[in-house]
Amino acid sequence: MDEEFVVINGINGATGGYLLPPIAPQDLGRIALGEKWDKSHLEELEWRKRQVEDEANFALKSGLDPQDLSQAGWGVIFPAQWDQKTQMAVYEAFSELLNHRRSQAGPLYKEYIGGEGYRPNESKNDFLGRHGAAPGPVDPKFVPYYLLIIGDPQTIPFEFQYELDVAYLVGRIHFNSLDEYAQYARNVVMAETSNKVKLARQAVFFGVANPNDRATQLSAELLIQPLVKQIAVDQPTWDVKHTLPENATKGNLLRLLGGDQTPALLFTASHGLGFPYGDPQQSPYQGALLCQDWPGPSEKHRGVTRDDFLAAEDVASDANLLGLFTFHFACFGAGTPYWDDFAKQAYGTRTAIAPHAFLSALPQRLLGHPRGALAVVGHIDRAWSYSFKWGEAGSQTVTYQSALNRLMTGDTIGAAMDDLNIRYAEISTMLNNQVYKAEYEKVDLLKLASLWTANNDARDYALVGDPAVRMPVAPEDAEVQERPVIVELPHRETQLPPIPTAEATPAISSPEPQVQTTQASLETLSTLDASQAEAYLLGADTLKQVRDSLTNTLQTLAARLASFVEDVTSLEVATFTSESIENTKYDLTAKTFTGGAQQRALTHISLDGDTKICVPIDAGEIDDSLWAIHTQMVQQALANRTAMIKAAADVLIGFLPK
Amino acid sequence: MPPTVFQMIFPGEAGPTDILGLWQPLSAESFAIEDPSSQTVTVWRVDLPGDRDQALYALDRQQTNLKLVEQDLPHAAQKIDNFIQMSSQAGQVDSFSFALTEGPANEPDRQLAHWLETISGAESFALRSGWFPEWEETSRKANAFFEQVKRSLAHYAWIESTVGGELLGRTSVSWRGDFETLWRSGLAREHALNHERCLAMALASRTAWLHIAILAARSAVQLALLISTNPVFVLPAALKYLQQILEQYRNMHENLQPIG
Repeated sequence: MDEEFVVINGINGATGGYLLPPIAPQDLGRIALGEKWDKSHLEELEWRKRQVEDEANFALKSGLDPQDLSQAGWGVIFPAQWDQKTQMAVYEAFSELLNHRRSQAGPLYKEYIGGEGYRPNESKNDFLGRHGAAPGPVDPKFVPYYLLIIGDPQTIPFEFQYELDVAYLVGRIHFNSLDEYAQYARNVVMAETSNKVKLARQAVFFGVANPNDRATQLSAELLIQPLVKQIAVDQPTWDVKHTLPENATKGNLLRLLGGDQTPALLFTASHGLGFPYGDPQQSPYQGALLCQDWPGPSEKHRGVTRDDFLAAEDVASDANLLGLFTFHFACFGAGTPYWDDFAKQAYGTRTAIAPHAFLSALPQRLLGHPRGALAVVGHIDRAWSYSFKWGEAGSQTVTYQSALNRLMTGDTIGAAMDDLNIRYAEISTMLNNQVYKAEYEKVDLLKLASLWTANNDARDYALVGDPAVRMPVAPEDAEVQERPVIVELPHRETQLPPIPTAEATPAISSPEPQVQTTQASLETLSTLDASQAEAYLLGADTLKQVRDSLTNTLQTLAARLASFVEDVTSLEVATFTSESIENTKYDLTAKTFTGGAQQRALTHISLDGDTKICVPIDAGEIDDSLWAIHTQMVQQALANRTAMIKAAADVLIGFLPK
Repeated sequence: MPPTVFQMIFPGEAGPTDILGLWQPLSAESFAIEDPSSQTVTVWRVDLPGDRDQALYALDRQQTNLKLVEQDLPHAAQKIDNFIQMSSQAGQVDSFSFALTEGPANEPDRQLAHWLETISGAESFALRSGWFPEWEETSRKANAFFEQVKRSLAHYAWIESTVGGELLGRTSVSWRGDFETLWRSGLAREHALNHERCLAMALASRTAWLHIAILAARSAVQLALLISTNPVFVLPAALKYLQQILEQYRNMHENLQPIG
């Protein structure tokens, strides 16, 4: 990093000036010295760094395929804080995707909803611990590797997402209407299960470089240009296009976002707009992409006009973004936190950026559109172009390059994004070491500033969308199809509640939901107190009959299962043959077939392991064919016995408190 | 070519059902069993077409569907656990149905919530009176199901398979798990394998029934504690809920054909 002032990305949409004043690198280094880490989070970051050094690229338990949901698992996290009505309404609207993932992940599909969902102020370790998982390698038997957070970031904070995605593959969605949840679910399922979405292998890199603006000139020169060159080499089967700064206008961006030029993959680098706390434009426009139409900071008196930036409302209702994956390198491209982390670090004052944390409207619009995109990757908080200028932990560009290559060769977006998480782990560990070292010796403030900006840049990336989606592109040399037009889903009336303000968010963890558990056994079914309704219902004879019958059946069933293990001390498998099988009968008492049937083989296995066998003989020789059939039947009988014992055990376990 | 038939027969009983949706239920009148001891038996019968490929296809398809049910069961358990969690969180039974928006995915939850409201007395008397027939019908079905499960465990099962109308083999399975199998003399190994697969599927179906029964009973106890009632009154609704969820999953499997 040279001696020039650091200009931080982000333009104040209300004034046209920078969101933060330019700052000397040494000052930035001093700010970095105040960096503090949560001990357990740092330990995990260090573990992740070591793991990568040991060439274990994914945090998933070894031997499991991170691309296969049946091995890696998939889970959805709802906010426990949401009321039942909201949870169930969103669940219903989103059920198409949930069912789809359930069918893919099988037993490793998990729903964290109701009391099992995220609880206010819960840390990542609290959440994982509550569900049986520990920090370190991910065992999807406890918590799935792929996790989709549903809900606004005020209710499930961005910090939880950052911490979780050090080891897990995490995405988030939050919409303001049920229609958008349903539509996103439909779009993902359609892209993954229908042959209708086969996009051309086309990637577009859209680099803005506003006049006299150091931040976007850096991102155009040091991010977009190298990426275009390298990706074109790495992916020869893709058509890689570069939108040069002079063409990086709002009009052209609209053609790429749902218009006639929409590619499969879009990568933009530009300023994102920011607005002061409480500004009415903050909700609709924060994170909107400032295009080449803005003449730069020199014309400060002009400010920013509505024609300079692309916001959610610019994406037309007839746009077709189906299957699109888009990366937005821009301030607030993905969302806005509640607290201003930079101000806290720089000035020691904790100030709020917005009344509550929120996802930016643009990614919400892109994903919730009736013909919407599948994933948006962007920044929470500010983006740091200066992080491209330093080299100790490797160029940020290399990390993007690796992520894009993975995505373009068929990895899930979650797996592709893991490189950014690894980079965060590496840089954080290095930064922590520098800060620690600074307590005892003089450190290079420029280097510290570089590390700090890179750390913020790597940490603040977030995926908006399902981490398990992958690009629906046509195979090489296969026929490309036009994006299909999806019929819009019927409107759902239920209104979702607004995002709570920070003041309304509970300050302390909610108590454990009062889930009643029982130690009741099957026998108690008929002995518990009846309610007033029961007394009333008992007035009707037919109903009483049904109740008595059910009670009796349950008691018998329970008794049967309870005695099963005790009674079963041996297993017997007998094989008979008959020339006229239709004429035989079975003698239940003697446990044998009569009417011309001949017993040919028998296996008797005692619980103590003693086994007696009679083998079939044919003309003085063992009848191999029949013996093979008999042996197979013995195997089946043993498997059936095991299943029955397991079922009996389930009766016991099922009635123990959870 | 006659279609493949997977049947389950309950002699002496009218209106049996297969909660898994895999076996075609028949009452005793439809199937004559000569053995006098057969009044308590559960018969699983598979008639396969004579064409080898068609027979294998039918067995593969049935086996796949059975595996899907086995996979779906833990998810159904999770669904009803979610319901119990959220219901207990709300603390008030009469908020159950208000919390549920309309839509096919929520329909089982709505019906279960309504059942609990009615049982707990949160509904008005007039509404409850109109609800009796539904209660009776659902309860009778639940009773029939538990009776089936009880019988299938308490007595022996009889599994027989035919190919092109020719009987391959008959297996009797006692409730303790002992097998006696009668084979046609000189039966080809390939045909014996077909019978073995039919046997395995019948027993796996019976085990799946048992799991559903256990899950319904466990859930009924937990739901009953929420509204302080006898679990037997909640059990039919819990079973119906699970049946509806499994049906939803079944429909989903039919509609979703992943392309890899």
